[in-house]
Amino acid sequence: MNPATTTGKLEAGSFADDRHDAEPAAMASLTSAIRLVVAGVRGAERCTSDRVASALGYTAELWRKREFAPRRETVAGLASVLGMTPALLEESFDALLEPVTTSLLKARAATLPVANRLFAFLMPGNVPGAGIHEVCAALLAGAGLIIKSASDERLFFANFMQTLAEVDPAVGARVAVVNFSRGENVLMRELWDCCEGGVVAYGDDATLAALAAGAARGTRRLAGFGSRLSGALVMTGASPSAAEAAADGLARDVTLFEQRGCLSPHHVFVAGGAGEARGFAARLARALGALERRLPAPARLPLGAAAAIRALRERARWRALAQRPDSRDRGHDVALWEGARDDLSSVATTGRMRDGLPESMGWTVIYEGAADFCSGPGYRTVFVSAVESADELGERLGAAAGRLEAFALAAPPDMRTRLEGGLRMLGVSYVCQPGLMQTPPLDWPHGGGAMLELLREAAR
Amino acid sequence: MAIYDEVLAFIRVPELALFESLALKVFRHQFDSVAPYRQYCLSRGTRIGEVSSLDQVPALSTAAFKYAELGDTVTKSERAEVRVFMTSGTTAGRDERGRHRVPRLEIYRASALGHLRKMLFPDGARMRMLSLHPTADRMPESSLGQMISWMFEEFGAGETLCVADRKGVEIARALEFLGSTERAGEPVCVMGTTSAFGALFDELQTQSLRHSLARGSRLMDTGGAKGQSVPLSPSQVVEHAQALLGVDPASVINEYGMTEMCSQLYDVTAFNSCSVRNPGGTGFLDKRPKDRRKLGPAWLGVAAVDPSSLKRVADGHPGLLRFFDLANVGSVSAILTGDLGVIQEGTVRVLGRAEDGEARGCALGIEQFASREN
Repeated sequence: MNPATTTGKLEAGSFADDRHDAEPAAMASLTSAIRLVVAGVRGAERCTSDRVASALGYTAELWRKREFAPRRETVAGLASVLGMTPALLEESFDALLEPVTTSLLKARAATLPVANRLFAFLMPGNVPGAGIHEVCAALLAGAGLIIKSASDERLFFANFMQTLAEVDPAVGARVAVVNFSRGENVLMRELWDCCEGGVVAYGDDATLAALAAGAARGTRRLAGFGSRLSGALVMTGASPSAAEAAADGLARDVTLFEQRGCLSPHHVFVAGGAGEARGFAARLARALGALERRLPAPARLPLGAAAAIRALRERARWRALAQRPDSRDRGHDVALWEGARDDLSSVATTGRMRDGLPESMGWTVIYEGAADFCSGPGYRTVFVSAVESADELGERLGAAAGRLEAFALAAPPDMRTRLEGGLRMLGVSYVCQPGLMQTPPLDWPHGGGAMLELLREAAR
Repeated sequence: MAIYDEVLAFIRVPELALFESLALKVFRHQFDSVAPYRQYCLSRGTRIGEVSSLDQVPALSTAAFKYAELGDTVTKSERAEVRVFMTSGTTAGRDERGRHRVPRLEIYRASALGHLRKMLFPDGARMRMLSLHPTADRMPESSLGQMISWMFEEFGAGETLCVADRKGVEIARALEFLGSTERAGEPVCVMGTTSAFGALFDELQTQSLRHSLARGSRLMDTGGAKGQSVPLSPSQVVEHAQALLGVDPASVINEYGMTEMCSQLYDVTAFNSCSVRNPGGTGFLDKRPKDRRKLGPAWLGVAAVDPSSLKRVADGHPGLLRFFDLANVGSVSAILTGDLGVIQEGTVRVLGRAEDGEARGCALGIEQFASREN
């Protein structure tokens, strides 16, 4: 079982600290939303899963068009709130929504139990649209949803579900999107009390552990999606074109959503020796630089992330400068590539000082030949290391083993099956080609399939 | 040695108006005498002749001390005067310990004691001393240990005791010493890492012991969360020191220092506020411990810089802490730390260390349940 995914029962009494009384208007708004969704689920008008799939599929089709007004508004609003550039958000949404088609939704519905109960969704704030796979599954299963958006990201689901309601009011009536601030424990209690189907929560591990502790004492089922990491394995052999394609794909995987979600790769392992891995790091740096021209990085990074990137760069810079002449032969060498402000081209520190272009924080590639899996602060910061063969990967995952969500695999077809099997044994829920990491299929068993488990429990 | 003597003279009798010109002189000396630093400056496009203000001086990451030899290779030093201090390696592993070569120890001594006198002994008192950290004779590579040894010499009177060595801290001996000090009714200065104080407080609580140390007693902790499995917050240090040792909260002073710098900063409280240089007011003295501000000596320039551009941010805005430490004349004075902080009226509020990375959840922003330190 996926250790970062928590299932259990939660009691409303988990919200022990009632510091704030709910505003009467906020409470009225929430109870009204709940009442409407309950009525939507119980309504006389039957919504078959086919009808839900058609409505969702058409909604997503509209949203795949960049000129669609609600999407435009959402992109503009999120760019301002999250600091991601509009171009990046556009490309990220394209990737996210790609699998949400009517035919695929219908196929997905066929695999789900009927669970026409009420579920609460506590949505993330770091990746707009994250959670859409679980939302689609719940709706296809016949559930009613109260989606509580995060304060940083109030737009995506509110606007998407508004479109759904316009496409098919009966299906739209099964969803309400609410937003209230943290500490509104009375409202949270009300939400949890009413959602008898269960609670789907996205959060860091500490948050989810606290929820799970509460769940263990109570009667609500909880599916928690906690802190997870992703990576990649590249085995392109001697083919430069395959390496180039893998680098381009991984640059896209790293870049979309500014590397803020659990599907974003942090560390790329390259099989075949240090020279090949180092060469791949240089390719990846070039690909990130090229992509940054089309999908600009935020004009200003959050302070903590910028400081963390600075710390990583300085450490890598000085390790590279200090390394012994034989480091490269032993596979222990370090190199740093970082965006340069003047022309966004790659600037490398590879054992001697680089020459004077002012750096930008747009992207960072750190090659550490012999490193175990590292996670960075996001914002296009990626590590590259060498493995002699794929068999070495397991031991190089280090502390990340058991916390992995996705892995991109650039490997010859005859090796893929075995490697995929091995990665799934390590708890990886999604294995794909480079370039597809932000486009998991609708049946992606996110967090080890916790959502399906929750729906099955609710269906009993 | 002229530049060293100039710095020493400044530390002994600071003339604020001369700080920047001396700092630029020190920078030029280091550019000429510390090869890796010169290379770094050139790589950042710095032309020595064009540097006319401290903001133009490239600051070297503390990480550099782990991987490069940053000593002055031009000026001759007396062998007896040279010391190499090493970082504890708690964050990067023991194989990656930072090394700070200090070619003239008396400059470090003058810097450390000069500011300690203002911040921890502003009343001119001499007293019993208890160290929960190994002194220099027990751990010569520890810059903190060296400083504590000097404190024993300079501010100690009566009994002084160090209860720590490389293996650990003898808490039982510390408690014994505190008991005898209390019975004697004499003030004591207790110093050590925050984690050592954590162990001391734990033991006092376990044994349900409470001391009431004599008026004038004081405590200096340093290191913050480093090395602690359950970090003791600044507020907790102050609360425990008051509740378990009877030390006045204003006399519980946290030090901010690092092996890579020969100067330190200390909490400004009502106890030492007479030392505050800035006449802008002391209205911040009633801040909770976690919001306390720290003050460095006159020979330490402080700034907060944008981590991306490395340019100074306006006072009151957070950034990475950058220092120019004249007392580092024998290595590199312009230091870029990994700590975030805010500069206000010449004082520093340390916000904490920037993390290198962490697992990404789908929902770092599920703030509805996030707990925050009070």
